[in-house]
Order: sequence, then C-alpha cells, then structure tokens
Amino acid sequence: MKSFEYGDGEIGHTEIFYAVASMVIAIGILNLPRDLAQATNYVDGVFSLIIAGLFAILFTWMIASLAAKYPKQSFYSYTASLISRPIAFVITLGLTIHFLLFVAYETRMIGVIAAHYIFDRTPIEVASFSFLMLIVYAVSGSHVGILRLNLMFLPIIVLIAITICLMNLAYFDTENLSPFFTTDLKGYWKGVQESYFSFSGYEILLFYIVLMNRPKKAPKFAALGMIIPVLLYATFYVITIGVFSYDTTQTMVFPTIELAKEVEVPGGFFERLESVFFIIWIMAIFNTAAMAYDVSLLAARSIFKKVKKKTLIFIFSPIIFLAAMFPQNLNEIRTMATYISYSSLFVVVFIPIVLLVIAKLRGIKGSE
Amino acid sequence: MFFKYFNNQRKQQNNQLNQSEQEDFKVQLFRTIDENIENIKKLYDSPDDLITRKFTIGNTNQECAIIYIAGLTNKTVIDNRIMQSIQIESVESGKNVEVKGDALLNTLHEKVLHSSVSKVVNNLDEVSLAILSGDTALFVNGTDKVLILGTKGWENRSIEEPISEGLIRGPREGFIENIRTNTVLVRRRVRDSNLRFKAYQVGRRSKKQLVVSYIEGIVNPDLVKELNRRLESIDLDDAPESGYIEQWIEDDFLSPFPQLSHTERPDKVASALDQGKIAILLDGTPFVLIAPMTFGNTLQSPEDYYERWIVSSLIRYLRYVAAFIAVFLPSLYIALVSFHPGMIPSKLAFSLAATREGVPFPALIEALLMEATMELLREAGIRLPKPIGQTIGIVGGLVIGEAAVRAGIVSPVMVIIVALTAIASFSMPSYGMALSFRMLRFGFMLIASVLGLYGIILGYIALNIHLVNLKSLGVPYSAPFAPSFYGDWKDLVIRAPITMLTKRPKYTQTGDTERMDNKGGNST
Amino acid sequence: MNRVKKGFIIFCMTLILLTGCWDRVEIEDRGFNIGVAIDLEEQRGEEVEQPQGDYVFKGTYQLVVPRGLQQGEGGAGGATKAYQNLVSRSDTMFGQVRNLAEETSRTPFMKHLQLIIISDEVAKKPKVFANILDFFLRDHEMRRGINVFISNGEAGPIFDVDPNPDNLPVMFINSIAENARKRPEMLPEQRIGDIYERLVDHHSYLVPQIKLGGDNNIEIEGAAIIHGHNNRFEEFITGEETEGVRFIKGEYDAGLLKTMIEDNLVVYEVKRADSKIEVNTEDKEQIEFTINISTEGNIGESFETLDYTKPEVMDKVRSALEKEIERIAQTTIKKLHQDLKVDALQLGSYVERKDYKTWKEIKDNWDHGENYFAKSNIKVNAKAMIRTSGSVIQIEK
Repeated sequence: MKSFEYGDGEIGHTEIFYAVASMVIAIGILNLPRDLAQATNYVDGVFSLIIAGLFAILFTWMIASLAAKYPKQSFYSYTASLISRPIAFVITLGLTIHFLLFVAYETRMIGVIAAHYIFDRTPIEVASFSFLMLIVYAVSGSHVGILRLNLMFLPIIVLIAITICLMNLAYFDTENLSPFFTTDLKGYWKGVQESYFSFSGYEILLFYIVLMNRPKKAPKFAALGMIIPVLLYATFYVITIGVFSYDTTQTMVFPTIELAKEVEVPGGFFERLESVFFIIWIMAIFNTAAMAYDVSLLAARSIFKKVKKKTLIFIFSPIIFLAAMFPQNLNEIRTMATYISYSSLFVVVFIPIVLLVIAKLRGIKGSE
Repeated sequence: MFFKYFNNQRKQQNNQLNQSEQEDFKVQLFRTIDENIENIKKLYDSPDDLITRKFTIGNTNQECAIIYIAGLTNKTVIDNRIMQSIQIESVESGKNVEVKGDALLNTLHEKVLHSSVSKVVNNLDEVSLAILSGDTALFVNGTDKVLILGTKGWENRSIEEPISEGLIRGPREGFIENIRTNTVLVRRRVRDSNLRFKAYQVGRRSKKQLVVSYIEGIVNPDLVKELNRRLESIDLDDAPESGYIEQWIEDDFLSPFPQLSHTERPDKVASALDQGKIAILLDGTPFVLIAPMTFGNTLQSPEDYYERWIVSSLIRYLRYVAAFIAVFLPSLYIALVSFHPGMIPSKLAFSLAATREGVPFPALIEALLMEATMELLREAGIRLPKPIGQTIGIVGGLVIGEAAVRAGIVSPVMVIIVALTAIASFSMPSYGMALSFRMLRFGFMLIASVLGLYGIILGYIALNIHLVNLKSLGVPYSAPFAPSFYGDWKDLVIRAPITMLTKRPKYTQTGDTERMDNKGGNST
Repeated sequence: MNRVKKGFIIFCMTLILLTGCWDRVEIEDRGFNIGVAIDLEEQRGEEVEQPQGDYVFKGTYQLVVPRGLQQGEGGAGGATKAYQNLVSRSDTMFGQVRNLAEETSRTPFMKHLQLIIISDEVAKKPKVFANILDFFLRDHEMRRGINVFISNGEAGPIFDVDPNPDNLPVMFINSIAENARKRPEMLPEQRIGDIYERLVDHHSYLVPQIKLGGDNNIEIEGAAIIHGHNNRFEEFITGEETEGVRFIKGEYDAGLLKTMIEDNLVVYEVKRADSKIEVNTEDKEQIEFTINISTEGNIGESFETLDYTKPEVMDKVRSALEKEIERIAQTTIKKLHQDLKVDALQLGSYVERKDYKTWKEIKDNWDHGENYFAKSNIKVNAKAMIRTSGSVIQIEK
C-alpha cells in the first residue's frame, strides 16, 4: 500500500529533538537529587549537574554528527566499512545487549515504584509484566510510530513536571540553598558522575538518524533536545533542595516523588499529587523503554538480516523479563543501573571518538 | 490476506451463478421489435411495473415501442414529450419519418425528440441498466440500436435539515438519497471549474452510482490515486449505504476508530474539499464520506467556523474535556474508589464512603450495571418513534436512576457519573467517534478494575500506540500532532481567527497551500 | 498474520490482567484513620528474650464512621457519631496499626491521616519522639502534611472533644490550628514534613501545644520545645513567648499589640511583620546575633485621645510600640537563651549560612555540650510603622 512519504518510514528533525529529550527523561530524575545531595553540599550539586549536562550535550552532538556523516546507512554498515566486519558485529551485538538491559532496568523500576507508591499487594511481577507487554505492543508497530509517541507524551510530561515545580514554590525556602560553593572539588566531580549517568540514553541516535530525511540537521536538534532534560533536571534539583534542604534530600529514596507528595492541591479533585505525577511519569519511562527496545531490534536486525522482527521480539521479551526480575532488591537494581551507565559511557564516548578518528585517518567519506 | 482468499472464492461462485441465469435470454439486441420485447421481458421475468408500449408512428406503419419501469420515470415527460412528439409533431411538421430502421432512429433522435438527455446504444447491458435507472428505451423495428431517453423521475425526499448533525448557526440543507441532488448541493457551494466528479459503479448486482469528488489542484494527486485503487478493488453485491464503502476501503478493520468521516452536511463537504480532502458520494444514502480524516477532525464541528473565534475555541476545549469525560470518567471513578481512595480529598472521600455504604456491589459492577442501563436506554430511544423515544429517556433516566438509588443498588454518585458520561458523549460532533468512545469506555472500566490508575495509564498509552500507527487513506491518524505540523495547530489547539487561517492543512499535503492572501481580512 | 499476532498479544495481556485484582478494596470497606494520639502506657523493666522496645504506647486512633456524616438520613433514631476512637497498645506504631484490624470491621487506611498528637510524657523520653514519627515518615501511605502536636497532659482524651459545629474532632482541631494566622499566640502548624527536616539537620525546634481545657474544650496555644540533639521534649512556652518566637522568626502574620500611652490603652493592629537576623561570627565563643523586627500596621483602637495628624504624637506612639515588641521578643529570648539554653529559634542555621567553616567546628556543640548558643549575644531592635490611624482622627475634642 503506497502512502504518504511523511506517513511512512521517514522522520524529520522534530522527531529527533523529541526523541533525545524523551529518551533521557526517565527514571534518572527520580533519585538524582538524592545522589547529588550526597555528593555535594547544599545547592552546589546544580553546578555539577550543569557541567554534566554540557558534557552530555557535547557527546550528543558528537554522536549525531558521526551518524549524520553516513546518511541512510545503518550503524553496522558504516562501522563495518570503518573497522572491519567482525569488530562491527561484536560492537553492534554489544549495543543490542546494552539496550535490552536498559529495557530490563526500566521495566523493573516501574514495578518497584508502582509497588511502592500505587500498589500495596499487587506483585511487582504483574506491574512489570503488563508494562513489558505494552512495550512489546509498541515495538511491534513501526519505528516511526514510537518516535511519534514522544511528540504526544513529552509535552504532557514536561507540563506535569513544571506544575509540580510551580506548586512547590509555596514550600520553597531560599534559605535552604545557601551557603554556596562549600563543596570540595572531589564532591563536584562525584556529582558530575552521578548526574552524567542520569543523562544517558542518547546513544539511540546512532540508530535513529538512519531514518531521518535530512540528517544534516541532526546534530543541532539532538543537542537542542538534550537541553530540555538538563534544564528540567536542574530546576528539579534546585526546587528539591529549596523545599527539603539538602540534609533531608539525602535521606529520601525518591526525592522527586516526595516533592510531588509535598504538594497539597487545594480543592482539587486529586489530593495526592504524587500518584498523578507517577502515573504521568510512566509515560516518560515508557517512551524511554520503548525506544531502547526498538533500537535494540534495529541493531539486531542489522546484523541478523534474515530474522523477522516478530521472531526477535518473541526471543527478546522473555529475556528482558527474566533480566528485569533478576535483582533481588533496590541495591542490586542500582548496581545494575551503574553497569548500564558505564556501558553507556563506553558507547557514547569511546566508540564515537574512535570511529570519528578512524574515519578522519582513513578518509572514508560517507555518501554526502 | 484472508480477504483476498475469500474474494476469489466469491468471484468464482458469482460467475457460476451468472452463467446459469444467462441461459434464459440472449445477451444481444435483435432487429425486430417483438423479439426485443420478448427478450427484455424474459430478462426481468415480466414484472408488472415493466411497461411496454408498442405503437406505429403517425400514419405510417413504422413499428416502435417504448419500454420503461413505472414509478422510476416521469410519466408527463413520456406522454407529452415523447409520445406526443413522435405521433403528432413529427407528422405535422413533415419531418421525414418514412425512412426505416437505423435512419428512422437517427431522425427521431436528431430531429424529432426534444429531450436533451438521449443517446443511442447498441447493447443489452446498457439498455437494461438504463431502464432500471428510470430511463425509457425506444425500440424501432428493423434496427438493433436503441434510443435511450432521459426520463428519470421518481419521488424524492425533499431537502431537509440533517437530523444527525444539528447546528444553531449554519445552512439548513442536508444531503438526500438522490445522488444527483447531492452533487448539485456540492456544486452549488464549490463553484470552481476545478471541482471534479469522478463516477464509479459499485455493486455487482445493484450497480450503484458512486461519485468521488475533489478539487483538482488542491488535492494531493497521490491521495486520489490511492483512493481510486481502493475503490476499484471493491467487489460487493450491493452497497445499500456508504458504510459498506467505508468498511471496504478503511485502513485497519481492527481499530476502534472510524477512519473515514461521514456527514449529511453539504457545507461540511465543501469545506473539506477546500482543505484538500476527498468526498465520496453514493447513490441512495444521504451520508457522504470524507477522507482522509484525523483524530482532531472528529472533535470539530462546522459551526466552529461560523461563530466567532474566541467562542469557538472555548467550545472546542469544552469538547476536548467532554471527550475525556466520555472515555475516562467511569474508569477513573472505579480506580479512585476501589484502589486509591487516598487520592480523593478527605472530606469527599468520607462522603463517597457514606453514599456507598450499603451498596452491595463493588464499584465495577455498579458502574457496569448503570452504564449498561444507559446504553439500553439510548438504544431504545433510537428505535422507538420519536415522541415515545423522548419519554423513554426521561422515564429511564429519572425513574430508574432514582429507584436504583432508593433500593440501595447503586450509589447516587454513580448515577451522577453515568449521567455526566452520557451527556459528554452526546456532545461529540461525530457520531462515529462517539460510538468508539462508548466502546473504549468499557475497556477502560475493566482495566481500571484490575490495576487501578496504573491500568488506566497503560491503557491510555496502548491507545496512543494504536493511534500513531493508524492511518486514514495513508495519512497518519494522529496528524497534525504527531507528526507535528505546527502550522496546523492554529486550527486544532485553538480555532484561530479566520483571517489567520491562511494556509490549508499541511497534513493533506495539498497542491495549492495558500487559502487566501496573507494579508487577508480587514483586521489590519 | 501480522494482525493475528497483534491480537494474540492483546489477548494474552487481558488474560494476565484478569487473573486478579490484588489491591481492590472498596471505599466503604476502608476504615479511614484520620488522627492518632500517643500516650505512654508503661515502661518495661526486665529483659525478655523477644525483641521489644523500652516503652509500650497507648495509641488512640480516630476512625471515620461515614454513616454518621450523612445528614438528614438518621432522623429520629438519634444520629450516630461520625467517628470512632479505637485504642491499641504496642511498643511499635506498626504493631498498633496492625492490632487495630482486630477491633474494627474495616481495613485501617492511613492515607487520610491528618493529625498526630503526642503526649508530653512520651516526648520527654529521649529519642522517643523521633522513633514514633519514623513509622509515619517511612510508610508511603502517609502524606507529608500531617499536623503534629504535643499535648499538655494525656493525648487520648483530646479526641473525645466536642467537635461542634464540625463532625470530626480531628478536623475540628485542624481547623482551629489553621487560625494561627490570626492568633499570634498559636504556633503555625507544624507538618510532619517540616519536622522531618529538623530530625535530619538536628536543629532544635518547636511543636504546637495542645491542651484539653475545662468544659471539654481544647486550647491550642504556646508550644513545646524539642531539643534537636536527642529529640527530647524540654518544656512548654506560653502564648506570649510564642508570639515572641513568631516575631523573631518573621512568622508573625497578623495580630494586635497593646501599649500604654499616658495610662490609657492604644491598640496597634499588625498587618505585616518581618524580621532580619544578622550574625557576627568573628569570635565563635561570642557569636553576635542582631534581630531586626519591623512591623506595619494601623491604629485599631485608641482610649487615649490623641491627635494622630501630628508627627510627634505618631513618634511617641511608635516608640512605645517598638518598646513593647522588644519586650515581647526579650521575654522569649530570656526563656530560650538564658533559662533553657536551647536554640529553638534555629539561629544556628544563620551561622551555617553566614560562615560555613565556623559552623562545621561548632555544629556538634551548638546548643548542648559546650553550648556555644548560650555563650552568644542576642540583640533585638524593633521598628513599627503606623500606616493609618483609622477613619477618625480623634473621637473627642
């Protein structure tokens, strides 16, 4: 069936912009303020956060320009042309696993938070499983469809985030912010690390830029897309510290959800905003997980060309579920998150730099 | 896949049928009148509304016959224009009616009969179709050609205000069952030489006339091509209503949403054509299909453009809220009452608990009971004659609701919820969408009763996944939100002042994008 | 085939979703717990093998009886009370809530909890105050807006107060507590979230006092001082001292001040008040605090016949008012600074912000041990501004 060009396989720069923002906004923000507050003093963490954000924007730009160099070529194919087929195969396979783990982590976290804030007796497995099924439904549609979901959800997500921040202004105490610059350098560095991890996820660009109709615009809009989460997270952090003071922030499991809990809507239909917040945040987490799964399918299909997408989904989904249910408690989940973050760091910093350098050295030009 | 298989099977069966029927009569025209009449009578099995009249012209002995179906034709035309012309005028004016066969037919056609709609045909299929469509066939002895005279004329409903789409302000005309009248109604509104009416015939047996209408130069040619492809594929026995066409050419038959919109209003069709959309008119139904449609379209009414923009924008928001209520309110109630009473403000929670005290059912059953009653009432109200229908509404709504509360079967709050939901779904401008919402509502109620709010949000996300993958004639259903065409938002998020709506919608990818001069209006 | 598979997935999903509804409890089956009052039951002496706390608490839980809230329906049958007070005894809060389930047909539901009253007897035991609040902070069901009070005397009976014209005593108490905006003698409500911050940063703090008056009335006035380093209740302060606290902390919303001008009363209506605290940390042994209080307001009532159009009259009234404010503040400071030596005004946090290095050194000995707080100097300056003197200049001439 022939249909419109824009209805089919191609995406514009808007989709890339939204994709980066949606991918990054997810679980990270829920516990980021605590990790940051543990590393730094008072509101100093926001500087770490912004430095990490700048790094993230830089890397986003780098990755996007790498991928945009080879328009309409899959990651596997241009990697193969740069550094031989077997190495490209291994890297792509690694990326597939990396993204699958990502999905597993998000799936598990959904279960954990749902069980904590919404449910009492409903098992985590059920919450996670139904979420995973939803992702499976999403990825069995088109790639473009998933990117379009971002366009529909991200505004709602940003809106609820801003609402929470605004409503907390009533409890905001500027005195909680000062004194400034009391953290030592080591603390700042730790803060940068912690916040950098919460910005991971934009490595999806390696695979999504293939779908773009005008990839030259990709680096600019991807970097712009990264600015949204950086600003949002910074705002959240300042508000959290202002409302709770940094000592208290350190002691809460999910400070951001507590922030929503702090608010009491006067005369509203909903009294407990944290449930509404979390409910909306499920959309954010869904976007992230769905894109990660989608990208892992893209990666896997670029190396196993003959296998059908449906077959891959049927193979991957049980693996994801088992991986999601593997950690026993919050600490083990955190360990899992740390591993994912490190592999993400490897993916976004090491691989692109190496590839860019090799591309320069060997002078292989993409079909520009 | 399945469809193609079934189609093939059906085709084979049909061919067999046709062959067996064809044994009785000959698919050809004869040179003598009697043979022709006999043959046609056989073809129709001599029904009593088939009128055959044999006569000889004036004082010659040229034998002629007219055949038509009583009731489909305008008898005055036949008597005064055809019979009279042939019998009296031709002889008196001394036209040459002495010739025979073909020549006579031509004389009659060119000189004698003053009917503007007439043509000469020479095969039985066309003759038969013409007779069935209300034309009159004139046979002349000695030729195998037939003169078809346009005498269509049957009783039509007059043009009335459409019942299904009422407006306060706007034209009061609605389409009727006659396709000619309908095309006229469209033409009268779009006086553009580029307005195209492309005719199709639909229905293996009934051969309904179907007209595809669009404005050349505005419409995207790919859309027309795609629609053409789909229409050509139609293989139906009969298409009694445009719903048949809609269901045949829609993109996804599993979807809960209608993928083509239908309307009874010519003004709505005209403005759709103006936006680069395509209208599909079918003979025998006042409902005209419009393609492509998007989700946003379903919440718009033509009246939005007739009233001033601030009012219209606000009313649109009201509709968005109504749509939300129509789908989600009962499920939210279930989720809040059965799962998350902590989210209800304390005082409201206590009084909710008080009203539900003594209600024997869980919220889900309570809601299902009331919603099912509501649906029943609605269905009953449609089926009954109008005056009684309204009574049913009142009796059902008030008496049953009140009695159910008194009997302690449902809580008063539930009655409010159900009533609100019903009112909200009545306020949808598109009936097709209102039906989908009714259906989705039950789905959300079920999922809310299992997973509470978490279930609702999962369901909502699933619905969105479906929406972004759904297409209407190849155009994404979720446009212009996703993919975003920000230019189109001023006719979606708000209804911007007419002077600012200078561009045609982008999602239809029109040829001519400018709707008016950029400076438009007096408001400068 | 694509569609069939899609359908299959959806079908699977529904099947799984249909297997159970774990969390469904209908709203009328929940026992809405809206208030908790904690009293001391006994002190444990001997060691037992079973792990147990040092104290056994008696918790009074107020549950809503929704039927009693319905109006008009009861008729002549005598209205049922809208609430039910249940008593549960245990050494842990969690245990108490669990015990409740034995006593009531409804599942106890804590998400609408709005009030915690802890008796002074309980709060006097070191650390116990924090231990009690732990459950209410840890449990995700609890909101952060729960009001916390310390009762002067037994806490439980407060829940039997006559809530007229409301229905529920807890709601009644909360609405009275909201009046703190108009009554400077009352401490503004302390939400459990606020106290949580104090528990973490170890500053001393104040909790509003609640007391059962005669005639089954409640009195909310004054406050209880809790020492930050061990979360132990020290002493109550009076209404006037609370007023001073609110002046010093800039939490004064509105109220009236009386002053004597030539043996006659003049009433000053405070519309707005603010305070600025300056710290001098040059000598950590002798930290200096300067508290500048400024108020704005009108003359509300004047028994003395004065011509308020004259600047010198205004000056006179103003300086009298300023002296009065300073007097009130000094009373409070005397009690907290000199008598009790507890920094319930959280002056320490100003040091922290001003001079983080010094603060780090003295933090652990701020208002206990070495007690740098007691060694500090506190100065109070007040400024009163009179905006208008009302509609009349003077009623007699």
